[in-house]
Amino acid sequence: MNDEIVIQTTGLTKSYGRVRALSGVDLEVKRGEIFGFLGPNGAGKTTAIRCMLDLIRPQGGTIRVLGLDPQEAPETVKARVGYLPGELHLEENMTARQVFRYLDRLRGGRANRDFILDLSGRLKLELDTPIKNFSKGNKQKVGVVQALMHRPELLLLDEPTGGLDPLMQQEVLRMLAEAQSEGATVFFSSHIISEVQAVADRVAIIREGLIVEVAETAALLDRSMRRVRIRFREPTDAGDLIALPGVELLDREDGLGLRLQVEGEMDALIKTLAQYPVSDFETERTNLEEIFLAYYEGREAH
Amino acid sequence: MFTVFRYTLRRSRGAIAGWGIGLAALAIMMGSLFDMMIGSGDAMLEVYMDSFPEIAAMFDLGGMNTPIGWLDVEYFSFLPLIVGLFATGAGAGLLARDEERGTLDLILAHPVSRAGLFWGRFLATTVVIVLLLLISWGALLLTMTWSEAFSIPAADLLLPFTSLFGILMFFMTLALLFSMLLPARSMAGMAAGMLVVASFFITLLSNAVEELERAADFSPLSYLETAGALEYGLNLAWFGFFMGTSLVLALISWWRFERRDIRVAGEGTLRLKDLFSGSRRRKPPESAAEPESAAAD
Repeated sequence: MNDEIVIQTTGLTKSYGRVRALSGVDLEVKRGEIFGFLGPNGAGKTTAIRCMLDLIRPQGGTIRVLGLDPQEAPETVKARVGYLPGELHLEENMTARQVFRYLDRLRGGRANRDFILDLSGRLKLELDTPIKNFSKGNKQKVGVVQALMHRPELLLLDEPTGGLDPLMQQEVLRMLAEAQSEGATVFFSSHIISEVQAVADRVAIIREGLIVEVAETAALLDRSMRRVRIRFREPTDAGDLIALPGVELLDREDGLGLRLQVEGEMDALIKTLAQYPVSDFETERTNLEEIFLAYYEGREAH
Repeated sequence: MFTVFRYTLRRSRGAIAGWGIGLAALAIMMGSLFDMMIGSGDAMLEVYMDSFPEIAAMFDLGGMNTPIGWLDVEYFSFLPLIVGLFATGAGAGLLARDEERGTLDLILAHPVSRAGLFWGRFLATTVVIVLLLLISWGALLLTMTWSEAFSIPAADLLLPFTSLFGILMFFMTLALLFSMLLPARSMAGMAAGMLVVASFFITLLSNAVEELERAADFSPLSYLETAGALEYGLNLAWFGFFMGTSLVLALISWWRFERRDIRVAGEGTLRLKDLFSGSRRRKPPESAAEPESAAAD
């Protein structure tokens, strides 16, 4: 396997009884990138991540994490990975400090104490309060810190900002970006599209256990559709605009306005539009959320 | 494995303290009552044996006027039930408790092998059982410091506890195995606990009910040696059988744990047909390429 590929899955399948969770997942994550794994609840995100850590065993396909088979060398893989479970449960009677100490000992004491304090401080985490007194958001902060504290080569994060307030969500995303700048690869699942759009270099969309799209986030947005709103000075049919390839009429507004959806380049539309008396022209790009919904609803974004 | 062992022991401090205090109190009470029983003479015992011969046979009351006979009837007849239920609870919860609570997921995402986790916890739980038995033993020895009639050499008194340890390990590992096979820890604990209770009553009643004598041969508690161990020495064959069986049960449990998926809430349950098939990677069937509509996250 290429050293630059940190995660590689081929034809990964996993079923729970008659329920198919993964139906042949093919995925490649490159070293040093932030990779967003997008899908709604039940799409197979958690199952795929847990297969990568040998917490569950797939029925078919292959997985390589950091060049190793997680089933053949689970401890070696896990020593180099930081993991945040989607359903985080901690020992309720321990404090955050005790949790970090215990988990660090399981890793052979690799974590830097000052780094733990720094991460905790940034997330405003109380280290000496028992976990049982923590809110869901505070527990999530413990999960984020324990995943990052030993500066792993690879971060596998299942819904890392779940339960956090918007400020803390931003802080966690900053931490992921910093980890990336230090050389770490970040693979995180989410169903919050805005955060994937904000930090991910590439994104995969999983639907019913199958990867339906893998692309650079920017490219995905670039090739996405635009919505165009045109206001004419006088009533016009504008039939040749609507007839252009990739252009779809969404709405007509009181005989003077048009709302169009344009797929691909805008060149033909603008050149054709130059023949008309135009009083106003607005364009708006669809965001990742609409692309995502398009995949899920089996239709083009509106 | 040492970190897991140490952490598990540390987490068991409350159980050791709670159960230890209770067991010590029971031992001290029973040891102290022996002086009262001796003080009242044998007359009361004879009247009781004449009036309730079945009860006398069931509890073997005839030997109650010796310290070990007294312990046999008043202490070791009930102690196995109490600590047996503790052992089954500990065995059933050894790994399944954390799995059901969801904390196992995070622990196993760290560079600790499943074998290390399993045996670290297994050893720690064994140490907890040993500690509880030592507390009981020590409490009986403590009672001898102020008792006038209650006296048994310390090394001799250790023999019944050694015999009990073998049986407790059997129940503990049986509950552990159940927890690896059954979908829920409560089911495993309940199934193993019912066996402890059934064994207790079959053993007890077989002294009075002839029809149960055959069944008692299959009851682990029938092989608990108390007065017999002091008189004839510990039956090493029986002790070895229970320890060997416990080891086999532990090895099967470990084998299951190595092969099974670590479950999280809502991620399916074990099925009978999956018990011994494991979930090692297999070549996907041709139909695997076709997605189904239902999927689990």
